[in-house]
Amino acid sequence: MFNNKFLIDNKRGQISDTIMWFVATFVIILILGATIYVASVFGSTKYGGNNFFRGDRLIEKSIFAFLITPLNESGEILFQQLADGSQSDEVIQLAGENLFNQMYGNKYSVSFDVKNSEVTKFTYLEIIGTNVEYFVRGIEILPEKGVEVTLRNLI
Amino acid sequence: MDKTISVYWFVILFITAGAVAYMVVAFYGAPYDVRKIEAGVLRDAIAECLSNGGYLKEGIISNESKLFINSNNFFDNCSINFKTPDFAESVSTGGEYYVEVEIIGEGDKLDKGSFEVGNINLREFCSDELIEKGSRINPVCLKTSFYVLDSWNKKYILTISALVRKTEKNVQ
Repeated sequence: MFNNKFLIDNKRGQISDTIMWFVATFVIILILGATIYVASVFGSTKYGGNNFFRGDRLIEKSIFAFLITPLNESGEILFQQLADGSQSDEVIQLAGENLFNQMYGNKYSVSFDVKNSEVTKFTYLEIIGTNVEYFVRGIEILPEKGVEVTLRNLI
Repeated sequence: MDKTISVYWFVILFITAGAVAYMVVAFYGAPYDVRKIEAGVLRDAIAECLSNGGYLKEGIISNESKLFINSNNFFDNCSINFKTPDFAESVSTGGEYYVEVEIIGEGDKLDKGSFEVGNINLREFCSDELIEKGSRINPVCLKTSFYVLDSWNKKYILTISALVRKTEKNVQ
């Protein structure tokens, strides 16, 4: 009697083990299949270029040319007017919009924003006193938002 | 029983190892498509060649807005070459690059000039329609305009189209 019960329990144990490994095999294959699928999806051609260029070299060139464009017969450029504060931000912005929206209207929605704090920081007196050359240091291009120019001096 | 289980373990081991190897190949074997970067570098190099400090460089344009640079002297003037040793077959098809430069002057009478170099069979891929449509198997074309002055302070809009084909090594 004891022997029979032992044999039956032993058989049940083997069946239980076998079922467990069948299920385990199924689970292992399922997990491997899922990871292979994920690797295939993420492993397709990867694209470079979206974050490679910090800013846009050609828009920088455009803005620079814009700042040195003569505004009148005497050859005064916008850059000088910006530096001595004789040109209002509204006029600059309008000039920028007129030019850049013509060129980039379809690609960028451009607003030409010169930061007040940055412009007023460097007054005309400082230019005369130190003979500082100004240059465009920060240009941030935000697609659909605009172009932001920050003027800084060389020192 | 033990024999059966050890065979089972070996089978599982090989399946797992095979799957891991396949995943590594699938993930890291895919190419990086860097044609957009290459086209951008080419475009910027051309822009640097043609303009500096907001002005067109000397010898690029006359005071009558005649473009001096053209397809014959472009490579010498800009120190650029379109050689692609990794794409030997491209010699027979015309090359892997195409560049078009167009300049439009401001004024009542619109001054216009343009030239193109490289594989002109690829020109169609720089059409606005195809650029907008975009397709990963098509050559990559970057078309960008910028504002520039000449030495006489005349205003121009310069448009550079830079195209790179190299589909075989960039797209899976």
